[in-house]
Amino acid sequence: MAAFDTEKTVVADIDRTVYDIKDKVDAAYEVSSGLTEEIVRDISREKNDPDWMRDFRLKSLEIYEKLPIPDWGPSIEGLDMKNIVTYVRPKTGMSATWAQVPEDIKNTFERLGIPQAERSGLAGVGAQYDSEVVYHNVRKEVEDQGVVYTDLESALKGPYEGMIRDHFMHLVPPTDHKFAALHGAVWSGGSFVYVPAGVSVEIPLQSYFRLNAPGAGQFEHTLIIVDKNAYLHFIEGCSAPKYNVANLHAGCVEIFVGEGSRVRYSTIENWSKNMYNLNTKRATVGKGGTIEWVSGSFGSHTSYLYPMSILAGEKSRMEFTGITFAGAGQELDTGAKVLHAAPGTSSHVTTKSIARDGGVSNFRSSVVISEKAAGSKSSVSCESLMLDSRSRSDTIPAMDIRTDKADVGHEAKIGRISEDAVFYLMSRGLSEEDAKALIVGGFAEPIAKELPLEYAVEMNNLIHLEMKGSIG
Amino acid sequence: MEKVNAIPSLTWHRLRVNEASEKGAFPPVPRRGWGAGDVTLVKVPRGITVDEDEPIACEELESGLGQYGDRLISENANSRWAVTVEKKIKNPLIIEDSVAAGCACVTCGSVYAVAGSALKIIHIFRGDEGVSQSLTRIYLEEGAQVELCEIQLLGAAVSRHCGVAAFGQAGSQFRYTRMELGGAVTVCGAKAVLSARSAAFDMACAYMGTGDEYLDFNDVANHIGRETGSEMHVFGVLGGTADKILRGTIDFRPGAGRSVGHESESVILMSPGVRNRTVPLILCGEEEVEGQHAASAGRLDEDALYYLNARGISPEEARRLMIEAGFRPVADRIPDAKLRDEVLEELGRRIASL
Repeated sequence: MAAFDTEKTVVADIDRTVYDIKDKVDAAYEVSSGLTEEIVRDISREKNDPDWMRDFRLKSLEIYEKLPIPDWGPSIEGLDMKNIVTYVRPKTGMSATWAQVPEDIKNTFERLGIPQAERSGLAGVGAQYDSEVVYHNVRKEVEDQGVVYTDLESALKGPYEGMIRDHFMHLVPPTDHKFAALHGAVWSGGSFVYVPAGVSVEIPLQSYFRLNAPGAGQFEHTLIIVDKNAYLHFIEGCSAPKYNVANLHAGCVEIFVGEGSRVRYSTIENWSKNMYNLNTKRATVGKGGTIEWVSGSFGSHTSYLYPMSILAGEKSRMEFTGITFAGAGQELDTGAKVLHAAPGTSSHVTTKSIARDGGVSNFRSSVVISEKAAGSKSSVSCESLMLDSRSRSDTIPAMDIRTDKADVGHEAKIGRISEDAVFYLMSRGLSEEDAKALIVGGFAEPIAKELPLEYAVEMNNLIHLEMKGSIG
Repeated sequence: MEKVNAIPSLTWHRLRVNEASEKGAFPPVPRRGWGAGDVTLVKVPRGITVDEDEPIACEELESGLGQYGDRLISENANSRWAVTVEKKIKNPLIIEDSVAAGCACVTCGSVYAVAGSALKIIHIFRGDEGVSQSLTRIYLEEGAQVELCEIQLLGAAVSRHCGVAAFGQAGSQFRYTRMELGGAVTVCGAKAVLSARSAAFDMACAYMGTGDEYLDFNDVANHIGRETGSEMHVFGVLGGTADKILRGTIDFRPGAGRSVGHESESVILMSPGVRNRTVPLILCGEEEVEGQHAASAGRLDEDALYYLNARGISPEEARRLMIEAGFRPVADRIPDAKLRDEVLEELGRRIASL
């Protein structure tokens, strides 16, 4: 029988003050709430879509109407599409300098630290406000390497239209699930990245998504194409102030990793607690390529988030490192999916989750090793920390192995802070309070160390672990 | 279609693991019904009486097969046995179900173990063709101990469905051993409800799937009482184009403080055509628990094979030894030496045919 610690550990909730500051809603244009063919046509017209994109949107709407709401995850009963405004255009166009961004919007991004981060250590930044990108810039030296980093809609109307048409929603087709179809119908904003063969983008690019309007949805699309033997680190951040009506985020990320290339995609998700975050992320990886996902999920009322990797090329690799922190009123269903579809591929999933104050944190995963993936390896490890009995933490992994020439391992642990570890640290001179703080900090450490320094600091600020031991 | 072996918490439907597939459906009952297979009480130890009157406490217990599967077996049962145990019984009760072409053994068994009593049951399933279905429901009062050992030695043309349901009061212990060596279709589901303090569930399962066999397992430990414990450990070998799904769930309910649950599965894959699906769940609504699961799947360890070859053991023998080593801890739980030897002999034959 395990030893159980009877002391209670108190972990403070995330300090959201900076994220909760609301701007006055002053849209240049917004569609009516709900989802109809007329609304989809309005969005398409407003965005001046090419015909094929308008038809794609309408087809996606048809699919949306036919697909069922998922019955296997957290409840999304509180989300009523009739009340969601799917397109809100702020009163500004896209700028390449912060000085041209309207004052209130610029102040919001200043508070979030985006321009500072750009100055100190990013190769380029895109900033989306509600449904439109308001700022996009890339360093000249990166641009000179042939790297394209722009908003998706500009790219759609320029020389890259063909490339976008060949890739847009090919990895995540609208038939994938109901909210992928919704995304296909009403998507707006997002970024397009192309890294040419042999180019290594040494410092990261970042897109930041801010949703300010109450009752709105954000449906940005991020399309990343990295050619052969190239490298990219892309960072995605997001936040929204809290309202007492449901907001919806159904974005989509598609990443094409070329042969011998490596892409790292880092996310700090910090939506407000009225947000339904039904996001889809997927990468396909060519021969000898690598996709690395680093994911921190802290916000949202309800999340469905499982970045998927398709290991399509021989000896391609995937790594997923994730942390989920669910507090009061949150149900965060997160994890990862991987399909091994070529020989000699490997995947490694490491996740940590913390549930407190009635929060629900679920880990869900799927590892499929196809008949073609002889010699593949996969390991999945998830650890969950329950900080009180009002919370909940479920672990729902699945493995499907269709070849004998594979090695697959999975382990999961759930529990509270180990009394033995506390005892050991106290025997080394630490107070009980410090010992527990160290253990909980160490629990999140493997994830923090995968992030760029400034984001690791942000994550630590977000978690803001305050340990208060009640001794004796 | 009604669901069989449904998982307690759903996941993506496209994985097709949420319930048994059509391959695992109950075979339709022929219009004229099945011929009855033989159900034999091989050994009835002194101190118990076997009759057909199911204790009321057992009637509502649900197995891992789920309500639909339990109902079908219960309604179509052509054999029933029931035991009430009032003291500690040393020798095992041995029951044997034998099927043949056109025949079915549809057996409903129940055990009511009063406080402090103990009973071991060995249930053997034999036959080369036909239908084998069993549902065993066990109610354990405080401190009762019941050990159920199910040994399946069926041929490759038998359809098998097997449900086990146990409800344990404080301090009770349910020890369950399942050895599945044959059957065209094998669908098994065990559920133990650990309702009160210190109730324990200890399950060990070994299976072998060859040819185009379909194996589907759904085992659940519901921790309700404090300080309850579950151990669920599975070893398996898959060859040919065998298709297997194992669902194992440890469910810590609020109030199950200081409970511990461990589950594991180790699968050896012997052929490129196999399909191995594993879904090990931990559902946790209680802070003060320890839950752990581990699963591994792969080929026989090549280093170990090389080592054995270097010691003069032929590759075939080395392979047999390594597979048998996985089955051995499960076989060692069979509480009858003669039967244990028979199982190991049969196992050796079946390993040779892999």
